[in-house]
Amino acid sequence: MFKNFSKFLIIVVTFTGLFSAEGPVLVIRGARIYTLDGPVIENGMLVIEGSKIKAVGVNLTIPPNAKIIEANGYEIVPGYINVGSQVGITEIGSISATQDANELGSFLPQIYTATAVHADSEHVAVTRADGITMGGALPGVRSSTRGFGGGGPVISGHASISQFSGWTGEQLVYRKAVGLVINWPEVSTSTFDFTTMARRNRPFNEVKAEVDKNVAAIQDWFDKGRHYASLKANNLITPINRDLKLEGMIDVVEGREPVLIFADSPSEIKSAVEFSLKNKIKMVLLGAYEADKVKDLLKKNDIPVVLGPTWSLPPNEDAPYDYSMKMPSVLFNAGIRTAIASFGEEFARRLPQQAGTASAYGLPKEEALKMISKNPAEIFGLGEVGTLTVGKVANFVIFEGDALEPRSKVHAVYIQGQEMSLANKQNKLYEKYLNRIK
Amino acid sequence: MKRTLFVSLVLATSLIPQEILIKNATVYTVSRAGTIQKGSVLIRDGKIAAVGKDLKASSIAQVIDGEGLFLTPGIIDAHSHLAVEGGVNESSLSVSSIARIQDVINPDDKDIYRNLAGGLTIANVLHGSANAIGGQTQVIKLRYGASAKDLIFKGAPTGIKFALGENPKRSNVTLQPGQARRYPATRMGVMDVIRQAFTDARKYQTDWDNFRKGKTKVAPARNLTLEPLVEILEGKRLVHAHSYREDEIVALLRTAEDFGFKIATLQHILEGYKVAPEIQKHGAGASTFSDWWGYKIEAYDAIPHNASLMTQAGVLVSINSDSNDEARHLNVEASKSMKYGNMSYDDALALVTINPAKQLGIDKMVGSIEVGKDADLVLYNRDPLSVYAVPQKVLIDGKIYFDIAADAQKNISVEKEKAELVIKLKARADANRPALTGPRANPRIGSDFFETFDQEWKEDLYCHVFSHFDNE
Repeated sequence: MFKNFSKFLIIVVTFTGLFSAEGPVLVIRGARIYTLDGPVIENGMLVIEGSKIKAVGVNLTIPPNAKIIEANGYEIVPGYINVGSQVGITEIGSISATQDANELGSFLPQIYTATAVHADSEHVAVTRADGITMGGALPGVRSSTRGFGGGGPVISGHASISQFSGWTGEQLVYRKAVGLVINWPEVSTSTFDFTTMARRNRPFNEVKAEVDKNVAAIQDWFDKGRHYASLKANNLITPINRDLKLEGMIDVVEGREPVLIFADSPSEIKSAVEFSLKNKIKMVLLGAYEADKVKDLLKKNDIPVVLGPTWSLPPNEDAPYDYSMKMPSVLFNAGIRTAIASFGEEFARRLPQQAGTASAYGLPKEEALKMISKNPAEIFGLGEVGTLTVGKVANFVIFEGDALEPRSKVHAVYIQGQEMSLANKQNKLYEKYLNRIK
Repeated sequence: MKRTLFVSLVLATSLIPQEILIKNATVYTVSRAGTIQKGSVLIRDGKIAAVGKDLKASSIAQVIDGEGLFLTPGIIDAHSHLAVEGGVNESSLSVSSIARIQDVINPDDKDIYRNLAGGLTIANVLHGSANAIGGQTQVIKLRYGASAKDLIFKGAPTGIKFALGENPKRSNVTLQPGQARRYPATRMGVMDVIRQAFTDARKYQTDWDNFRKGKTKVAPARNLTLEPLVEILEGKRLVHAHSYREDEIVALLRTAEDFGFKIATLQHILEGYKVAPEIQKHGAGASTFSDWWGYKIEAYDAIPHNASLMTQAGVLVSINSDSNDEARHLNVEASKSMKYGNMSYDDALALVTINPAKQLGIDKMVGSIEVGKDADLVLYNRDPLSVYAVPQKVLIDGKIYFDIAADAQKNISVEKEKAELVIKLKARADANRPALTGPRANPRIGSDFFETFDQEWKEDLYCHVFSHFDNE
C-alpha cells in the first residue's frame, strides 16, 4: 500500500495533520553534523522546514520565526535504520502468543510482516529512544548463531520496513514488501536440538541430500512463480483461480522486489549467488557470517550485504578473535555495499554500538555511520532518507556526545521533522522507582 | 619446524620477567588513588609492587611504554559459563548441589582466549539455572594455555548457584512425549524446595555436631548434596542466586534470613531496582545485565537503569555477561550506566572491576591497581569505557597472556600453515587416487574431492587434527 512515499505522506496528512508543505522552521546549530553525503560539518547548522531538510551548512541565515536548538558539542546524524530490528513483530521471545515472526510451513511467499506490525509494541519507543528511526521486520529469521539452525521456513515471507512514528501498524509500515526472505539451506551436520537440549549430529551425505532437495524446491517455486506471472500477464488469472502463494512470487521473479537471502558459510553464499544469477533476480545477502571468504564473488556481482552483530564469536577455532568485528571493514575495503542490523528485537537498540565496534576494529567512523543509515537506505530503496541532504526527509538524531558511543545520551529524535517523545516503558519505570529510594 | 616456530612464539609472549614496568599510561586505579595521568605501574613477581608517577625500574625490568594508552584492572565477570565441558545444567534434580563446575573445566576452550582478548581476566563460572539449588561454582583466571587445575583461582571462596523463577519452574522447556513435569512448577514450589533443602541441611549439620561432641556413637552417613548447604549455613560458601522478579527476590532474602545465612549475590536481578532497599538491607550484591530485556516475561520489566538505581540505593552492583561474546565487551556494557541513570565514569568502571571482586570475595587480591594485588591488567588504546577501546595487552599475575601484535603475527602463521596443509592433503589424495576407469573407479577421490566440500569442511579438518597447537 505504501510502496510510494507520496501516497504515505498524503495519508498521514489526511489523518493526523502532522505534516504540511510549509511547516514551522527549526534550526539546530553548533553541532558536528554527519550528513554522510559530503564532508563532516563542524559547528554546523541544520535547517528543517516542515518534514524536510531545508538547508545544512555553516553560518546560514536563520529564517524569521525559526525555533532554535543550541547543540554545541553535540553530534547530529541521520536517523539510524536497523533493517533487521524485528520491532513490532516480536514482543517477548519466549511467549509464542507475542511473537508473529515465525509462521509454520516451509514455503511461505504469501505472507507479509507488514500485516502484523504492532504499533504499541514497547519495542517501538525503547528502540526509537536510542536513535533508531526505522526498523525492518523480517519473517522467519533463522538464528544468526551458527549451529543453532535446523527447522524454520525456507521461503519465510516478505519483509517490511517501519518508520517508528504513527498511531497504527499501517501508519508505522513505511514499505510493505522490501524483499522475500529465504533462509538458504544450511550444510550443518551438527545442530543444537532444543527439544532434547543436546547437539544432534547427522551424516554429511544425509544433510547434503536434504540441502540439495531444498535448493531444488526453491527453484521450483521460482519456476512456478514465473509461469504464474506469465499467466497473469496474459489475463489468465481470474478472481476464482488465483493462487496467493504464487502471487507472492510475481514481484520477485520479475525483479521488482529483491530476495533477502540468509546465508553464512562460503558454500551457502556461493550457492545462493549462483541461484540469484541464474534466475536473474535482485539479491541482498543477510547474515553473511563468513562473507570475507567470498568477497570477490560479492563484489563482482554487486551483491549488497547486511551483517549481524559485530561482536559475534568467530566461526571456527582458528579464525582470529576479532573476525566479526573486522568484517565490516573487510567488506568496505572490498568495495561491497554493506549495512549492519541486529536481527532481533531485544538488542535492536544496540545498532550504534554494533557500528562503533566495527569502527574500533578498522572501519572509519563515517563509514560505520553509513552502514546504519545511508547504506541500508540505498540497499532497500529508501532514497529519501539515510543522509542529511537538502530536500530529504528530516529523520535525524541529536546525540549529546559521540553518535556511536553507547554512553552518549540521546538529546532528541526527529522523524519527518517532528520531535519524537523519548518516554518509554523503561524510563517510566526508572522514574517511578527512583521515587522509592529518594 | 613450523610448529616449533609457532610454539616458541607463544612461549616468547608468556615468559615471566621478574619485573615489568608499564610507564606513561593513564592509570585507572579504581581505588582511592583515582586516575593517574602519565602514571606508571611496577610489577614484581606477578604482583603490583608500586603505582605512581616516574617510577624507576631495575635494569632487569621489561619496560612497556604506555604513552597514549590506558591501563585498568583486569575485567571481572561475576556470571559466566566459560570453559565448561558439555552441558552446564545437571537438570535431573531440583537440588543438584552435588555437581561441581571444577570437575568440568575445559582449558582448551578457545573462548577463554577470545574473552581474554576483550580484557577479561577473571570469570565466576556458574552451573546453569535449571534447578532451585544448582551446582557448585568455580572462579577461574583466564590463564589461557594452563591446565584446568591451574585455571582455578586459588584463594577465591567457593560458591553455589541458586535459581528462581521461570528456569527452575522449567516454564520454557518442551517436554518429550511421555516425559513428566518436574517439581517445582511454580515460584511457591521453588521456595519450598529451598526451604526443605535447608531444613535437611540443618538436621545433617546437627547430626554431625552431635557426633563430634560425642553425643552419638556412629557417624552419620556423608551426604554430598547437603554438605555444600551446611557450608552455606556456616557462612563458608557464597550463594549466587539467579533471580528476576521482585517478589521472588524478597522471598529468597527472607528464606535465607529465616535460616540465618546471607545471599552473596543476586544474579541477573532485572527487577532489582524495584526492591533495592530490601537488597541493600540484606547486604546482598547485585550482578545484572546492561540492557537485556524482554526475552521472557520475567525480563519484561527490565530497565537499563537497573545498575544505576541499585547503586544509588547503596547496593554493591556489577555488570556480568552470561555469554561468551558479551564477556568480550563488558567495559562498554558498563559504560551504559552513565547514559541510563547518570552514573559517574569511575563508578561505571567499578561495575566490572572492583565491585565483582568484592562480590566474589577476592577484592583483597584483585579488582584494582593497588600495591600488593595481583598484576591483572588491561592496556587499552582508548579510554577504557569507550566503544572504540581495543585491548592491546592483557596481563594476569604479571604475565602477558594477550598481546595484539603477537596475535596478528600468529594469525599470519596460522593462515600460511593452513594453506600448506591443504596443498599437502591434496597431493596425498592425488597420490592415492584410485583408477578413474574400470571396476574400482571412484571419481570422487582425488584433489577434486576437496573441491566438492566447502572451505568450512577443510577448516574443520584442520581444527580436528591441529587444534592443540594453540594450547602448547
